[in-house]
Amino acid sequence: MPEQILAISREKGVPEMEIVIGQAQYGKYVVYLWDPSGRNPQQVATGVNVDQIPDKFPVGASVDALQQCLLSWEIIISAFESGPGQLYSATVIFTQRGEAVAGGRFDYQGALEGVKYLGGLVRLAVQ
Amino acid sequence: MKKTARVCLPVVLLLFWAAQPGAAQSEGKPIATAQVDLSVPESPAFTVLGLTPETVIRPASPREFATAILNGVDRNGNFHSGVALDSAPYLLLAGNQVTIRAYRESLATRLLSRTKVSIATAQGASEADKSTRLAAGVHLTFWDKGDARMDSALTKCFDEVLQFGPPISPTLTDKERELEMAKRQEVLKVKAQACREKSRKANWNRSSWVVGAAPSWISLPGNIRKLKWDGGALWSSLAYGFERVPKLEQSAQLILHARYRNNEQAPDMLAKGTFIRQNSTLAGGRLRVSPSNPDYAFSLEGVLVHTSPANRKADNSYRISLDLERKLTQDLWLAVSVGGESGRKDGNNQAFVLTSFKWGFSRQAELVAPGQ
Repeated sequence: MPEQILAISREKGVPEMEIVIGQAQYGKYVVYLWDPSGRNPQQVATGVNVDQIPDKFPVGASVDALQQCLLSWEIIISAFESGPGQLYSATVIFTQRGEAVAGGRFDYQGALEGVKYLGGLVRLAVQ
Repeated sequence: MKKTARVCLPVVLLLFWAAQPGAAQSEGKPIATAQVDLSVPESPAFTVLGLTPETVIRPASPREFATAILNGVDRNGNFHSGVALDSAPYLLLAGNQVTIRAYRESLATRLLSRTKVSIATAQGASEADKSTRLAAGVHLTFWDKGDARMDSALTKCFDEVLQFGPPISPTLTDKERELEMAKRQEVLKVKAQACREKSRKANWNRSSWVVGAAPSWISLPGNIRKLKWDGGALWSSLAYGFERVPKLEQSAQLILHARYRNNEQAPDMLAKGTFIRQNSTLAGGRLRVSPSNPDYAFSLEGVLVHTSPANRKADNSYRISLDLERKLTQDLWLAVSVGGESGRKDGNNQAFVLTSFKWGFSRQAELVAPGQ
């Protein structure tokens, strides 16, 4: 699959990332920012969806520092109930100044057999 | 004892006892190591068709999508086979927006998420009853102290055991990343399941309250094109889990059940092969006990039945039974109900052995958008 590029507006400042885990399932996530060569990972955020802390956070401290960086996320979803018949859903949304970033929405959904380990990766292009 | 029951009894007992722990496997481990898992719900639509061996319906949390197959002998000695499709429509349609935080904080969200609808059909296979029955059901769980989504201990267990490994390098190919995630997923599945088993063992008998309703249709000759209105049913089950009562808190559950069924076409016990219309009201209780062996569940059930057949005198009777459920494999349970009736004015009191296989499975993957 070709590398996914996420175009970020320099004028709109640091982008925000939100992770929504649906189907009333348990979820936790971790987000890393990598240098343009895919090395030196810095943890941007980590969290769970069962606390009172919003699962929305800024990506980096400066928009210029994001140029050509790689951003990856990993999500673990676990069903509360045992047995078949469970579903999972997760949505990763990028915004700038509250506006959606074009191509900045990633949806995952399907049958949940106990645990689902998800991941995603984009290269940030500051324009 | 009825002839049908006599014929079925040896087969049932053979199946019940032949499936010894360790003979079958459940997700790669012997059944004997699994926990109590009455995970095949008693479908509301099966309830109104009278195809659940237990009369007193056990409250159970719904799944997003589930299917159950049931084969067994009804209280009139006639063999039926049926299939029920159950779903939690709110989670199915709007579940992507339902976070666990919203579920825990909003009573309305919980009520909607726990609401189950089902449709079931059953076909009689004996000369006395070849009818085809169809029912739709709705099942509202107003209160459930055993709801796993509200279990803080389960959440804490997930917090502890579901850990990320080192960051997955972006220099890996897509295939390598997928393989790494699949590998981690398999490891976490085992850890999460251990948390769920612990939670289920602690919560299997918690108090809860459900209300159900189901309209039904019947075709006496068995032709689906000749389906006619067959009345409906309203029922409620209130379960008490003996919370804070030593000993019983972990080992017993008392379920009270009331049901009204109207305009039903029931087989006429006085004229075999014919049907009569009747209304019935039922009230009863069921005491469930968890034995030391988790592959069995035992219940003692007592029910009072008031029946009002058309053009006949109303009748009151009672029914007592001992119900046993035996886990054969994951999601496959054999249920046997042994008991007797008394007090019927027509003198048609019967001992009965009712059996059924309850087989629950999921087909929800077919509903997922392509590419997922």
